[in-house]
Amino acid sequence: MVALDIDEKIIYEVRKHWFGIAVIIAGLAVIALIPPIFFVVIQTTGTVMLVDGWLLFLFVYSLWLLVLWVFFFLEWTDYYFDVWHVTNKRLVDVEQKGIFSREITSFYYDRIQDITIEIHGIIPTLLEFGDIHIQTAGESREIILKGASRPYMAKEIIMKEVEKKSGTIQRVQVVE
Amino acid sequence: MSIVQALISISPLYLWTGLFIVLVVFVCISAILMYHWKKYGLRRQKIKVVQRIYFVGSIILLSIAIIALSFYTLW
Repeated sequence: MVALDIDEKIIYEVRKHWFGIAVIIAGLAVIALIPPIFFVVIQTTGTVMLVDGWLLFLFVYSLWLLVLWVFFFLEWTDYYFDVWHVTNKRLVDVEQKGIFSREITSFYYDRIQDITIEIHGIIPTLLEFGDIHIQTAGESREIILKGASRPYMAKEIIMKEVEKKSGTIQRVQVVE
Repeated sequence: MSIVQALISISPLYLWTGLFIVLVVFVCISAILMYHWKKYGLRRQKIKVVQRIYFVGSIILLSIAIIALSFYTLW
């Protein structure tokens, strides 16, 4: 868990946009339809099915759905736990890499050098999501949140905190 | 014998074994998910709702599998 100081409060959470998880749901829905279609095709092509063939299909199909169900929650965990916590003191980047790996980086606002937002394509523009890049001072490392929801709002909130701590932000670039 | 006819003639013993393996894997993955949700989830209320949805859905699907296999075994 992200350990916050006693006087530290989370102001905003920058998360990935729901479109990413919606694409996964759509993909899983298509995969879920494969066994029933296969079953119906077999029946309509005249292959003899015994009465208990339905029970066998039901058994296999429910396990198939269970696998997809669990897979969805694994994906959801990856999606939900990839987050930036904007606190009144610092920015905490929690990067979930699969189920067994995660990386937590935090840095204070005075180390932020520039924020870049990248929005490419029709759907990201309409639904307002994109990549946010933050370059920090003192190290060459850049932190990125891909497919972030409401990147402009996130940028504004982070910038306000940066301005509170260090006066001005050096460079802000928006790429569309 | 066609593929479908071969599937239908699978012994229930193999199917129960398959179900058992799926159950073991399911319990392991669920334990990992619970650990992550409890340790890293900051919004407890939301995580609780997700946990309920996960387990209710899983129990329904497992129940259907067990009932279907039971009837298949008894048929």
